[in-house]
Amino acid sequence: MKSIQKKLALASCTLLAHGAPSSVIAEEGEDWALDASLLHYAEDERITVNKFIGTLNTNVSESDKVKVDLVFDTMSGSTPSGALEGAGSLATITTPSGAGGFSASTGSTAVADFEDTRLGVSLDWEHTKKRVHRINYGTSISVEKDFTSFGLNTNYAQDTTSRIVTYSAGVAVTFDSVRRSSGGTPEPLAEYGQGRTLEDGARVTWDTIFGVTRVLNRRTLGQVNVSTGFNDGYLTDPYKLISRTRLIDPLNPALGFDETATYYENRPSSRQRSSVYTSMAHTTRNDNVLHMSYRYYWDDWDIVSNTLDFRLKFRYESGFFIEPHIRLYDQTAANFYLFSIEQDTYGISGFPEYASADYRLDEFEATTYGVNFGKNFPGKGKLRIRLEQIEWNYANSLFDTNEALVVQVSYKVLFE
Amino acid sequence: MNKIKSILFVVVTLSLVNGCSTMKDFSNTVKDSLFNYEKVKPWQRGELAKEDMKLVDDGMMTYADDHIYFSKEAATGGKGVGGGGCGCN
Repeated sequence: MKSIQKKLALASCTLLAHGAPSSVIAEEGEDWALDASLLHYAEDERITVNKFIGTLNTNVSESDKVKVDLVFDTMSGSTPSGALEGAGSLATITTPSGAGGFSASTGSTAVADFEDTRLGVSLDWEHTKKRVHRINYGTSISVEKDFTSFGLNTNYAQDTTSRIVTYSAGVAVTFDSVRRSSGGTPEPLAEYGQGRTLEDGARVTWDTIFGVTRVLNRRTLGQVNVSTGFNDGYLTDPYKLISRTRLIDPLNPALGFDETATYYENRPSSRQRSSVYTSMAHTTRNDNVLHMSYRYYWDDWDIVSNTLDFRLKFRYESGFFIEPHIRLYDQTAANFYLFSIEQDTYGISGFPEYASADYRLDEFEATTYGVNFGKNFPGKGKLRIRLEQIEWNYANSLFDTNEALVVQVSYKVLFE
Repeated sequence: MNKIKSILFVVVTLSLVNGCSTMKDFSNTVKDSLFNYEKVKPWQRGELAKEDMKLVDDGMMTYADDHIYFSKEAATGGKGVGGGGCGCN
């Protein structure tokens, strides 16, 4: 009887935990849930990441739950630096729209090789009071050779008396330390390989979120979140570069540019971000489950973005499921994004206040499509496998396309 | 890579076509999910309590996606706050 009561209580908590951001989720009435995942991410001739994620959930009392996350990444490969082909080479580069197919030669500054590992640990504790109030405290730490992050967060969720609506609010603060693997950070807009090495970059990030989750009908849940965040401190990427170029023939821009020098990039030291996120889960009349979400994002770097995500899960009596997934993303360019510092605009030695050729700050579109499938073993665990392809198309960057394959295998086991 | 892309594209397309095999299925889904509000009683919430109906139904996938998209896109956040950062390239 006690077991049935506990399962009913946890089922209620599970339903109402939907609105709690980052909440610790009850695990089908079992005392322990261990979820482990291996992920392989491979870009075409660029970055490769292998990731292990482990999560352990446990109910330490009738009203308290604890969750521990462990993540370990190995990352290697090469990434566009933002520079063109290399200072001093006076390489001739075609205009951005004709840059497709460019292949950087060995030793070029256009791509930067890297290799790193990341270890991250986070701990969450959730306390439930009078069945309708939930408060969650979390902390996290992440360490790489060239990056350290420490974060604290708290989230609160409250259900209405009818338990139809859940209101939630959360705040998080993160302290990051950024450096090159060789130590320190380069002097912004100094010529590549020259200039002073400055101390490690430090930044603080604040994030807040307010959300409403509502039971729309007996088969549909809806959620709206409003988020705002603020970054303050070193927001420049210490590895990214930007080239100075001059038109070969100012009267005939189609002839392309000559690269005359390469510099370290420089970004503003603050950033205000906001977003509105809506999501929905719905069980269809033929027992499939539809997940949809849309996010509208904007910030004071003039980046505006739309993200649409769509998944439809087909469930079978054997416990097998298959779920196709499509995600569409677009963004505008940051107001200081430049393909290069053009000598015809800024002169031989002039600079804009801020300049970055980082492809992630360019205008671009991305499409993810793939499929998740697996099998549910009731009361024991769940196997999930996903296979996805991500494609990016950049408006101005030197490398104007990229694509990646994502393979992830996860298994969750439940035990008492 | 191209062979995998083709297979993925076919699987996704066929699955979605199967899921919306008739216009009636499609219109029912839109009507049920967006235009059918009701005050649901506790004993009518069996479907809502299932794990598949969590708004974040696979924590592992969400965790990995957050890292991938944080490292490749300028826009972040929306689902929640907290979690460790990364110095992604």
